[in-house]
Amino acid sequence: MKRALASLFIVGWAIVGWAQDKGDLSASRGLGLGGRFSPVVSVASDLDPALGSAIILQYWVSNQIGLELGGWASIFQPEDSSRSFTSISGGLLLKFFDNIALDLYVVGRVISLQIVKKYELLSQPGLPQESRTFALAAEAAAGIEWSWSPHVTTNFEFGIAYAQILEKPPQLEPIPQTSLSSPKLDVSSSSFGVMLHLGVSFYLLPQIGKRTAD
Amino acid sequence: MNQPGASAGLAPLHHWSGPPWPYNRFQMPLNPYTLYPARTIGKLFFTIPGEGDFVCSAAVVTSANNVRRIVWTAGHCVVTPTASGPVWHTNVVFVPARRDGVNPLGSWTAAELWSINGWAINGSLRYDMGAIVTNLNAGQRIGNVTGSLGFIWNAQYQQDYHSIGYPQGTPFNGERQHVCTAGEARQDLPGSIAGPATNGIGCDATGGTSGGPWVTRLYPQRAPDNPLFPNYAFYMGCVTCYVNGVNSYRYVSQPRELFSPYCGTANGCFGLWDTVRNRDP
Repeated sequence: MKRALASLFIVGWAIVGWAQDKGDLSASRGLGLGGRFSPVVSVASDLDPALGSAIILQYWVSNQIGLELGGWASIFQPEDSSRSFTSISGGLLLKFFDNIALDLYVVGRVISLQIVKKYELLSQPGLPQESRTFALAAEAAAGIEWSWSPHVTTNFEFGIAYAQILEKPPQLEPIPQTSLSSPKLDVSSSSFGVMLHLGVSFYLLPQIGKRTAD
Repeated sequence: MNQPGASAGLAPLHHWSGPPWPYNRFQMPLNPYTLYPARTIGKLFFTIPGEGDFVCSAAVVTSANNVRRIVWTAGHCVVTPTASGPVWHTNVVFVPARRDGVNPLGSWTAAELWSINGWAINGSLRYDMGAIVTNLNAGQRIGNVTGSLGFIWNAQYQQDYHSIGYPQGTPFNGERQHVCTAGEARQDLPGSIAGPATNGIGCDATGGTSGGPWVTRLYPQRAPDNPLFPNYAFYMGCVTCYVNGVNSYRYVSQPRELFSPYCGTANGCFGLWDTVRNRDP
Protein backbone atom coordinates (compact mmCIF):
# COMPACT_ATOMS: atom_id res chain seq x y z
CA MET A 1 0.00 0.00 0.00
CA LYS A 2 2.83 2.37 0.86
CA ARG A 3 4.38 1.76 -2.54
CA ALA A 4 1.10 2.47 -4.28
CA LEU A 5 0.58 5.73 -2.47
CA ALA A 6 4.20 6.72 -2.91
CA SER A 7 3.75 6.20 -6.63
CA LEU A 8 0.72 8.40 -6.50
CA PHE A 9 2.78 11.14 -4.90
CA ILE A 10 5.50 10.82 -7.49
CA VAL A 11 2.98 11.12 -10.27
CA GLY A 12 1.50 14.11 -8.55
CA TRP A 13 4.76 15.95 -8.22
CA ALA A 14 5.76 15.02 -11.75
CA ILE A 15 2.82 16.78 -13.27
CA VAL A 16 3.17 19.86 -11.16
CA GLY A 17 5.14 21.53 -13.90
CA TRP A 18 2.44 20.80 -16.37
CA ALA A 19 -0.17 21.96 -13.97
CA GLN A 20 1.63 25.20 -13.20
CA ASP A 21 1.45 26.06 -16.86
CA LYS A 22 -2.25 26.13 -16.48
CA GLY A 23 -1.73 28.60 -13.71
CA ASP A 24 -5.28 29.65 -13.01
CA LEU A 25 -5.89 28.80 -9.41
CA SER A 26 -9.14 30.58 -9.44
CA ALA A 27 -10.99 28.00 -11.43
CA SER A 28 -13.57 26.28 -9.31
CA ARG A 29 -13.05 22.72 -8.30
CA GLY A 30 -15.48 19.97 -8.78
CA LEU A 31 -14.72 16.33 -8.39
CA GLY A 32 -11.25 15.26 -7.31
CA LEU A 33 -9.43 11.99 -6.90
CA GLY A 34 -6.48 11.59 -4.58
CA GLY A 35 -4.64 9.68 -1.96
CA ARG A 36 -3.97 10.12 1.71
CA PHE A 37 -1.00 8.54 3.41
CA SER A 38 -0.20 8.65 7.09
CA PRO A 39 3.43 8.34 8.06
CA VAL A 40 2.53 8.83 11.71
CA VAL A 41 -0.46 7.27 13.40
CA SER A 42 -0.51 6.55 17.10
CA VAL A 43 -4.10 5.67 17.77
CA ALA A 44 -3.80 1.94 18.31
CA SER A 45 -0.94 -0.26 17.24
CA ASP A 46 -3.24 -2.85 15.80
CA LEU A 47 -4.95 -0.29 13.59
CA ASP A 48 -1.94 1.62 12.36
CA PRO A 49 -1.34 2.58 9.64
CA ALA A 50 -4.50 1.21 8.06
CA LEU A 51 -6.48 3.86 9.88
CA GLY A 52 -4.87 6.75 8.10
CA SER A 53 -4.37 5.72 4.51
CA ALA A 54 -6.94 5.83 1.76
CA ILE A 55 -7.78 6.57 -1.80
CA ILE A 56 -10.15 9.51 -1.65
CA LEU A 57 -12.84 11.07 -3.75
CA GLN A 58 -13.53 14.71 -3.05
CA TYR A 59 -16.39 16.86 -4.14
CA TRP A 60 -16.46 20.56 -3.44
CA VAL A 61 -19.97 21.76 -2.85
CA SER A 62 -18.73 25.31 -2.86
CA ASN A 63 -15.35 26.97 -2.91
CA GLN A 64 -14.93 26.41 0.81
CA ILE A 65 -16.96 23.34 1.63
CA GLY A 66 -15.97 19.92 0.44
CA LEU A 67 -17.10 16.37 0.97
CA GLU A 68 -14.75 13.43 1.03
CA LEU A 69 -15.27 9.73 0.60
CA GLY A 70 -12.33 7.40 1.06
CA GLY A 71 -11.38 3.80 1.43
CA TRP A 72 -8.75 1.17 1.05
CA ALA A 73 -8.59 -2.58 0.95
CA SER A 74 -5.70 -4.96 1.10
CA ILE A 75 -5.57 -8.66 0.60
CA PHE A 76 -3.40 -11.33 2.14
CA GLN A 77 0.05 -11.36 0.64
CA PRO A 78 2.44 -14.25 1.13
CA GLU A 79 5.21 -11.90 2.12
CA ASP A 80 2.94 -9.84 4.27
CA SER A 81 1.94 -10.41 7.86
CA SER A 82 -1.28 -12.33 7.24
CA ARG A 83 -3.26 -9.20 7.87
CA SER A 84 -5.86 -7.76 5.59
CA PHE A 85 -8.01 -4.77 6.15
CA THR A 86 -10.76 -2.76 4.56
CA SER A 87 -11.55 0.79 5.45
CA ILE A 88 -14.11 3.35 4.42
CA SER A 89 -14.23 6.94 5.52
CA GLY A 90 -16.35 10.01 5.07
CA GLY A 91 -15.39 13.57 5.82
CA LEU A 92 -16.35 17.21 5.67
CA LEU A 93 -13.74 19.83 4.74
CA LEU A 94 -14.01 23.53 5.49
CA LYS A 95 -11.49 25.89 3.95
CA PHE A 96 -10.61 29.09 5.75
CA PHE A 97 -9.94 31.10 2.66
CA ASP A 98 -11.09 31.12 -0.84
CA ASN A 99 -8.95 30.70 -3.82
CA ILE A 100 -5.40 31.18 -2.67
CA ALA A 101 -2.44 28.95 -3.39
CA LEU A 102 -1.68 28.19 0.24
CA ASP A 103 -4.86 27.55 2.09
CA LEU A 104 -5.83 26.39 5.54
CA TYR A 105 -8.68 24.08 6.30
CA VAL A 106 -10.18 21.84 8.93
CA VAL A 107 -11.62 18.45 8.34
CA GLY A 108 -13.73 16.03 10.30
CA ARG A 109 -13.78 12.38 9.37
CA VAL A 110 -15.44 9.18 10.41
CA ILE A 111 -13.47 6.06 9.57
CA SER A 112 -14.70 2.50 9.67
CA LEU A 113 -12.05 -0.18 9.63
CA GLN A 114 -12.02 -3.95 9.68
CA ILE A 115 -8.83 -5.96 10.14
CA VAL A 116 -8.61 -9.72 9.68
CA LYS A 117 -5.65 -11.73 10.89
CA LYS A 118 -5.08 -15.36 10.07
CA TYR A 119 -2.74 -17.37 12.22
CA GLU A 120 -2.27 -20.84 13.57
CA LEU A 121 -1.63 -22.21 17.01
CA LEU A 122 1.22 -24.65 16.64
CA SER A 123 -0.26 -27.70 18.27
CA GLN A 124 -0.89 -30.71 16.08
CA PRO A 125 -3.30 -30.95 14.43
CA GLY A 126 -3.05 -27.25 13.91
CA LEU A 127 -5.62 -24.83 15.18
CA PRO A 128 -6.21 -22.23 12.48
CA GLN A 129 -7.42 -19.01 13.92
CA GLU A 130 -8.88 -15.88 12.47
CA SER A 131 -9.34 -12.78 14.52
CA ARG A 132 -11.34 -9.78 13.42
CA THR A 133 -10.97 -6.27 14.68
CA PHE A 134 -13.56 -3.62 13.98
CA ALA A 135 -12.88 0.02 14.64
CA LEU A 136 -14.95 3.13 14.30
CA ALA A 137 -12.85 6.26 14.54
CA ALA A 138 -13.61 9.95 14.54
CA GLU A 139 -10.89 12.35 13.51
CA ALA A 140 -10.58 16.11 13.63
CA ALA A 141 -7.66 17.61 11.78
CA ALA A 142 -6.27 20.90 10.64
CA GLY A 143 -4.50 21.05 7.33
CA ILE A 144 -2.48 23.13 4.95
CA GLU A 145 -3.22 22.79 1.27
CA TRP A 146 -0.99 23.93 -1.50
CA SER A 147 -2.69 24.40 -4.82
CA TRP A 148 -0.25 23.96 -7.62
CA SER A 149 -2.92 24.53 -10.17
CA PRO A 150 -6.66 24.08 -10.48
CA HIS A 151 -5.86 20.48 -11.17
CA VAL A 152 -3.41 19.52 -8.45
CA THR A 153 -3.18 20.07 -4.73
CA THR A 154 -1.01 18.61 -2.04
CA ASN A 155 -1.75 18.83 1.63
CA PHE A 156 -0.48 18.16 5.10
CA GLU A 157 -2.76 17.47 8.03
CA PHE A 158 -2.34 17.09 11.75
CA GLY A 159 -5.21 15.57 13.57
CA ILE A 160 -6.41 13.86 16.67
CA ALA A 161 -8.49 10.73 16.54
CA TYR A 162 -10.60 8.68 18.85
CA ALA A 163 -11.29 5.07 18.00
CA GLN A 164 -13.72 2.58 19.46
CA ILE A 165 -12.36 -0.89 18.86
CA LEU A 166 -14.12 -4.22 18.98
CA GLU A 167 -12.04 -7.34 18.75
CA LYS A 168 -13.66 -10.64 17.99
CA PRO A 169 -11.18 -13.32 19.06
CA PRO A 170 -10.81 -16.42 16.96
CA GLN A 171 -12.84 -19.53 17.36
CA LEU A 172 -11.57 -23.03 17.00
CA GLU A 173 -11.99 -24.68 13.66
CA PRO A 174 -13.72 -26.92 12.92
CA ILE A 175 -16.74 -25.74 14.84
CA PRO A 176 -16.44 -27.14 18.34
CA GLN A 177 -19.07 -29.27 19.93
CA THR A 178 -21.41 -28.24 22.69
CA SER A 179 -18.95 -27.41 25.39
CA LEU A 180 -17.06 -25.06 23.13
CA SER A 181 -19.85 -23.83 20.94
CA SER A 182 -20.39 -20.39 22.42
CA PRO A 183 -18.40 -17.61 20.87
CA LYS A 184 -15.76 -16.06 23.03
CA LEU A 185 -16.37 -12.78 24.70
CA ASP A 186 -15.71 -9.91 22.38
CA VAL A 187 -13.24 -7.41 23.68
CA SER A 188 -14.09 -3.76 23.43
CA SER A 189 -11.65 -0.96 23.96
CA SER A 190 -11.08 2.62 23.01
CA SER A 191 -8.03 4.54 22.01
CA PHE A 192 -6.97 8.10 21.43
CA GLY A 193 -4.04 9.36 19.41
CA VAL A 194 -2.62 11.67 16.81
CA MET A 195 -2.40 11.29 13.06
CA LEU A 196 -0.32 13.02 10.42
CA HIS A 197 -1.51 12.88 6.84
CA LEU A 198 0.13 13.67 3.55
CA GLY A 199 -2.19 13.92 0.62
CA VAL A 200 -2.42 14.71 -3.02
CA SER A 201 -5.51 15.33 -5.10
CA PHE A 202 -6.13 15.66 -8.80
CA TYR A 203 -9.11 17.64 -9.97
CA LEU A 204 -9.91 16.22 -13.31
CA LEU A 205 -13.29 17.78 -13.82
CA PRO A 206 -13.18 21.44 -12.80
CA GLN A 207 -16.64 22.81 -12.51
CA ILE A 208 -17.44 25.32 -15.16
CA GLY A 209 -19.40 28.36 -14.41
CA LYS A 210 -19.63 27.89 -10.71
CA ARG A 211 -17.37 30.81 -10.21
CA THR A 212 -15.88 33.03 -12.81
CA ALA A 213 -12.17 33.49 -13.13
CA ASP A 214 -10.68 36.78 -12.15
CA MET B 1 35.65 -24.29 24.15
CA ASN B 2 32.19 -23.17 25.14
CA GLN B 3 31.98 -20.25 22.79
CA PRO B 4 28.58 -18.93 21.79
CA GLY B 5 28.13 -19.14 18.07
CA ALA B 6 31.04 -21.48 17.58
CA SER B 7 30.97 -23.08 14.19
CA ALA B 8 30.14 -26.77 14.37
CA GLY B 9 27.96 -26.65 11.30
CA LEU B 10 26.04 -23.48 12.05
CA ALA B 11 26.14 -20.68 9.56
CA PRO B 12 26.52 -17.18 10.94
CA LEU B 13 23.42 -15.07 11.20
CA HIS B 14 23.11 -12.00 9.02
CA HIS B 15 21.22 -8.81 9.26
CA TRP B 16 17.91 -9.18 7.52
CA SER B 17 15.37 -6.73 6.27
CA GLY B 18 12.27 -8.89 6.25
CA PRO B 19 10.87 -12.39 6.37
CA PRO B 20 11.93 -15.10 6.02
CA TRP B 21 14.11 -14.18 8.96
CA PRO B 22 17.54 -15.79 9.32
CA TYR B 23 17.61 -19.00 11.25
CA ASN B 24 19.10 -22.45 11.28
CA ARG B 25 17.08 -25.55 11.96
CA PHE B 26 18.49 -28.96 12.65
CA GLN B 27 17.59 -32.12 14.48
CA MET B 28 18.85 -32.44 18.01
CA PRO B 29 22.18 -34.17 17.33
CA LEU B 30 21.80 -36.89 19.89
CA ASN B 31 20.51 -40.43 20.16
CA PRO B 32 18.97 -41.12 22.56
CA TYR B 33 17.93 -37.79 24.00
CA THR B 34 19.12 -38.70 27.42
CA LEU B 35 21.69 -35.98 27.91
CA TYR B 36 20.95 -32.60 29.41
CA PRO B 37 19.28 -30.46 28.24
CA ALA B 38 17.57 -32.62 25.58
CA ARG B 39 16.29 -34.94 28.31
CA THR B 40 14.27 -32.13 29.86
CA ILE B 41 12.29 -31.56 26.67
CA GLY B 42 9.52 -33.83 25.54
CA LYS B 43 6.26 -34.40 23.81
CA LEU B 44 2.92 -33.53 25.35
CA PHE B 45 -0.20 -35.56 24.57
CA PHE B 46 -3.65 -34.30 25.49
CA THR B 47 -7.31 -34.20 24.58
CA ILE B 48 -9.39 -31.09 24.00
CA PRO B 49 -12.92 -32.03 25.06
CA GLY B 50 -15.13 -31.98 22.01
CA GLU B 51 -12.19 -31.52 19.66
CA GLY B 52 -10.04 -34.61 19.80
CA ASP B 53 -6.48 -35.60 20.57
CA PHE B 54 -3.60 -33.18 20.12
CA VAL B 55 0.13 -33.03 20.66
CA CYS B 56 2.39 -30.24 21.80
CA SER B 57 5.90 -29.94 23.19
CA ALA B 58 7.00 -28.95 26.67
CA ALA B 59 9.98 -28.83 29.02
CA VAL B 60 10.76 -29.45 32.65
CA VAL B 61 11.67 -26.21 34.41
CA THR B 62 13.26 -25.51 37.71
CA SER B 63 11.14 -25.36 40.85
CA ALA B 64 11.49 -25.45 44.58
CA ASN B 65 14.07 -28.00 45.63
CA ASN B 66 11.60 -30.42 47.11
CA VAL B 67 9.04 -30.10 44.30
CA ARG B 68 10.61 -30.81 40.91
CA ARG B 69 7.31 -31.56 39.24
CA ILE B 70 6.84 -28.62 36.90
CA VAL B 71 6.51 -28.77 33.12
CA TRP B 72 6.31 -25.53 31.15
CA THR B 73 4.40 -25.21 27.87
CA ALA B 74 2.06 -23.00 25.89
CA GLY B 75 -1.26 -22.00 27.40
CA HIS B 76 -3.21 -23.40 24.47
CA CYS B 77 -1.71 -26.81 25.21
CA VAL B 78 -3.42 -26.97 28.60
CA VAL B 79 -6.58 -24.89 28.30
CA THR B 80 -8.94 -23.58 25.62
CA PRO B 81 -10.68 -20.30 26.41
CA THR B 82 -14.39 -20.08 25.62
CA ALA B 83 -17.25 -17.76 26.48
CA SER B 84 -18.48 -20.24 29.02
CA GLY B 85 -15.10 -20.28 30.69
CA PRO B 86 -11.81 -22.09 30.30
CA VAL B 87 -12.03 -25.64 29.00
CA TRP B 88 -9.17 -27.49 30.58
CA HIS B 89 -7.63 -30.27 28.57
CA THR B 90 -7.75 -33.87 29.64
CA ASN B 91 -5.57 -36.96 29.34
CA VAL B 92 -2.46 -34.79 29.60
CA VAL B 93 0.71 -36.87 29.47
CA PHE B 94 4.27 -35.58 29.19
CA VAL B 95 6.97 -37.81 27.72
CA PRO B 96 10.46 -36.34 28.11
CA ALA B 97 13.25 -37.28 25.72
CA ARG B 98 10.91 -39.20 23.42
CA ARG B 99 12.60 -40.20 20.19
CA ASP B 100 11.21 -42.34 17.37
CA GLY B 101 8.44 -43.67 19.57
CA VAL B 102 10.80 -44.69 22.35
CA ASN B 103 10.25 -43.20 25.79
CA PRO B 104 13.58 -43.75 27.52
CA LEU B 105 12.71 -41.95 30.72
CA GLY B 106 9.06 -42.85 31.09
CA SER B 107 5.98 -40.63 31.06
CA TRP B 108 4.27 -38.38 33.57
CA THR B 109 0.57 -37.56 33.82
CA ALA B 110 -0.77 -34.21 34.95
CA ALA B 111 -1.94 -33.56 38.47
CA GLU B 112 -2.72 -29.87 37.90
CA LEU B 113 -2.96 -27.62 34.87
CA TRP B 114 -2.24 -23.90 35.12
CA SER B 115 -2.35 -20.93 32.82
CA ILE B 116 -2.79 -17.17 32.93
CA ASN B 117 -6.20 -15.49 32.87
CA GLY B 118 -5.13 -13.41 29.88
CA TRP B 119 -5.06 -16.64 27.90
CA ALA B 120 -7.49 -18.92 29.76
CA ILE B 121 -10.26 -16.31 29.87
CA ASN B 122 -9.47 -13.75 27.19
CA GLY B 123 -7.56 -15.88 24.70
CA SER B 124 -4.84 -13.29 24.19
CA LEU B 125 -1.72 -14.70 22.61
CA ARG B 126 0.32 -12.30 24.71
CA TYR B 127 -0.47 -14.60 27.63
CA ASP B 128 -0.23 -17.98 25.92
CA MET B 129 1.68 -19.78 28.66
CA GLY B 130 0.83 -22.81 30.72
CA ALA B 131 2.29 -25.08 33.33
CA ILE B 132 1.69 -28.64 34.40
CA VAL B 133 2.24 -30.02 37.86
CA THR B 134 2.94 -33.67 37.17
CA ASN B 135 2.08 -36.71 39.16
CA LEU B 136 4.88 -38.92 40.34
CA ASN B 137 5.81 -41.78 38.04
CA ALA B 138 6.59 -44.89 40.04
CA GLY B 139 7.40 -42.62 42.93
CA GLN B 140 9.77 -40.51 40.86
CA ARG B 141 9.53 -36.76 40.56
CA ILE B 142 10.12 -35.80 36.98
CA GLY B 143 12.77 -33.23 37.84
CA ASN B 144 14.79 -35.84 39.66
CA VAL B 145 14.87 -37.93 36.51
CA THR B 146 15.33 -35.34 33.79
CA GLY B 147 16.89 -32.39 35.53
CA SER B 148 15.38 -29.06 34.62
CA LEU B 149 15.88 -25.94 32.60
CA GLY B 150 16.40 -22.67 34.37
CA PHE B 151 13.78 -19.96 34.17
CA ILE B 152 14.30 -16.27 33.49
CA TRP B 153 11.87 -13.39 33.14
CA ASN B 154 11.94 -9.70 32.24
CA ALA B 155 14.84 -10.45 29.94
CA GLN B 156 15.73 -8.45 26.85
CA TYR B 157 13.81 -9.27 23.71
CA GLN B 158 16.95 -9.58 21.66
CA GLN B 159 18.71 -12.80 22.49
CA ASP B 160 20.10 -15.81 20.73
CA TYR B 161 17.21 -18.20 21.02
CA HIS B 162 17.00 -21.93 20.50
CA SER B 163 13.44 -22.94 19.87
CA ILE B 164 13.11 -26.67 20.52
CA GLY B 165 10.11 -28.85 19.89
CA TYR B 166 8.60 -31.83 18.18
CA PRO B 167 7.08 -30.54 14.93
CA GLN B 168 4.62 -33.05 13.55
CA GLY B 169 2.90 -31.27 10.71
CA THR B 170 4.23 -31.88 7.21
CA PRO B 171 7.11 -32.43 6.48
CA PHE B 172 7.93 -33.58 10.01
CA ASN B 173 6.74 -36.68 11.82
CA GLY B 174 6.77 -35.52 15.41
CA GLU B 175 9.29 -38.10 16.55
CA ARG B 176 12.42 -35.96 16.72
CA GLN B 177 13.43 -32.81 18.51
CA HIS B 178 14.17 -29.98 16.12
CA VAL B 179 16.13 -26.91 17.09
CA CYS B 180 15.76 -23.51 15.46
CA THR B 181 18.56 -21.11 16.32
CA ALA B 182 17.82 -17.47 15.70
CA GLY B 183 17.94 -14.03 17.15
CA GLU B 184 14.81 -12.04 17.80
CA ALA B 185 13.45 -10.88 14.47
CA ARG B 186 10.53 -8.71 15.35
CA GLN B 187 7.88 -8.04 17.92
CA ASP B 188 4.19 -8.50 17.35
CA LEU B 189 1.12 -7.09 19.07
CA PRO B 190 -1.64 -9.64 18.52
CA GLY B 191 -5.06 -8.51 19.60
CA SER B 192 -6.02 -5.39 21.46
CA ILE B 193 -5.83 -6.72 24.99
CA ALA B 194 -3.04 -4.94 26.78
CA GLY B 195 0.12 -6.87 27.42
CA PRO B 196 3.72 -7.03 26.33
CA ALA B 197 4.51 -7.62 22.68
CA THR B 198 5.16 -11.16 21.60
CA ASN B 199 8.54 -12.09 20.24
CA GLY B 200 9.14 -13.55 16.80
CA ILE B 201 12.02 -15.52 15.35
CA GLY B 202 12.67 -17.25 12.09
CA CYS B 203 11.76 -20.93 12.20
CA ASP B 204 9.86 -23.28 9.92
CA ALA B 205 8.79 -25.80 12.54
CA THR B 206 5.18 -26.91 12.16
CA GLY B 207 2.26 -27.95 14.33
CA GLY B 208 3.26 -29.98 17.35
CA THR B 209 6.11 -27.70 18.26
CA SER B 210 3.79 -25.55 20.35
CA GLY B 211 4.86 -25.27 23.94
CA GLY B 212 8.43 -26.19 23.16
CA PRO B 213 10.88 -24.02 25.05
CA TRP B 214 12.84 -21.07 23.78
CA VAL B 215 16.16 -21.79 25.40
CA THR B 216 18.92 -19.26 25.92
CA ARG B 217 22.54 -19.76 26.83
CA LEU B 218 22.60 -22.92 24.79
CA TYR B 219 25.35 -23.23 22.28
CA PRO B 220 27.11 -25.78 20.16
CA GLN B 221 29.79 -27.78 21.84
CA ARG B 222 32.30 -29.61 19.82
CA ALA B 223 32.08 -33.24 20.66
CA PRO B 224 35.85 -33.76 21.07
CA ASP B 225 35.75 -31.17 23.80
CA ASN B 226 33.22 -33.12 25.77
CA PRO B 227 33.84 -36.77 26.59
CA LEU B 228 30.16 -37.35 27.27
CA PHE B 229 29.21 -37.63 23.63
CA PRO B 230 32.22 -38.42 21.45
CA ASN B 231 30.16 -39.89 18.64
CA TYR B 232 28.67 -36.61 17.56
CA ALA B 233 30.19 -33.78 15.63
CA PHE B 234 28.61 -31.32 17.98
CA TYR B 235 25.96 -31.12 20.61
CA MET B 236 23.87 -28.38 22.13
CA GLY B 237 25.27 -27.91 25.58
CA CYS B 238 25.19 -25.61 28.53
CA VAL B 239 25.79 -25.62 32.22
CA THR B 240 22.29 -24.42 32.91
CA CYS B 241 19.98 -23.58 30.05
CA TYR B 242 17.21 -21.08 30.64
CA VAL B 243 13.69 -21.02 29.29
CA ASN B 244 12.65 -17.62 28.03
CA GLY B 245 9.61 -18.32 25.90
CA VAL B 246 7.52 -21.04 24.31
CA ASN B 247 6.48 -21.78 20.77
CA SER B 248 3.01 -20.33 20.42
CA TYR B 249 1.70 -19.26 17.02
CA ARG B 250 2.58 -18.27 13.50
CA TYR B 251 0.81 -16.37 10.76
CA VAL B 252 -0.63 -18.54 8.05
CA SER B 253 1.06 -16.66 5.24
CA GLN B 254 4.50 -16.69 6.87
CA PRO B 255 5.39 -20.28 7.77
CA ARG B 256 9.01 -19.38 8.46
CA GLU B 257 8.36 -17.28 11.48
CA LEU B 258 6.99 -18.24 14.86
CA PHE B 259 6.15 -16.29 17.95
CA SER B 260 6.36 -16.63 21.69
CA PRO B 261 4.69 -14.63 24.42
CA TYR B 262 7.11 -12.48 26.36
CA CYS B 263 7.88 -13.72 29.85
CA GLY B 264 7.68 -10.88 32.31
CA THR B 265 6.17 -9.86 35.56
CA ALA B 266 3.66 -7.59 33.81
CA ASN B 267 1.82 -10.35 31.99
CA GLY B 268 1.81 -12.89 34.78
CA CYS B 269 4.49 -15.16 33.36
CA PHE B 270 6.69 -14.85 36.41
CA GLY B 271 3.67 -15.06 38.68
CA LEU B 272 2.60 -18.31 37.07
CA TRP B 273 5.99 -19.89 37.50
CA ASP B 274 6.38 -18.49 41.00
CA THR B 275 3.08 -20.13 41.93
CA VAL B 276 3.56 -23.53 40.38
CA ARG B 277 7.16 -23.94 41.43
CA ASN B 278 5.92 -24.51 44.96
CA ARG B 279 3.01 -26.76 44.04
CA ASP B 280 3.43 -30.22 45.48
CA PRO B 281 -0.04 -31.76 45.73
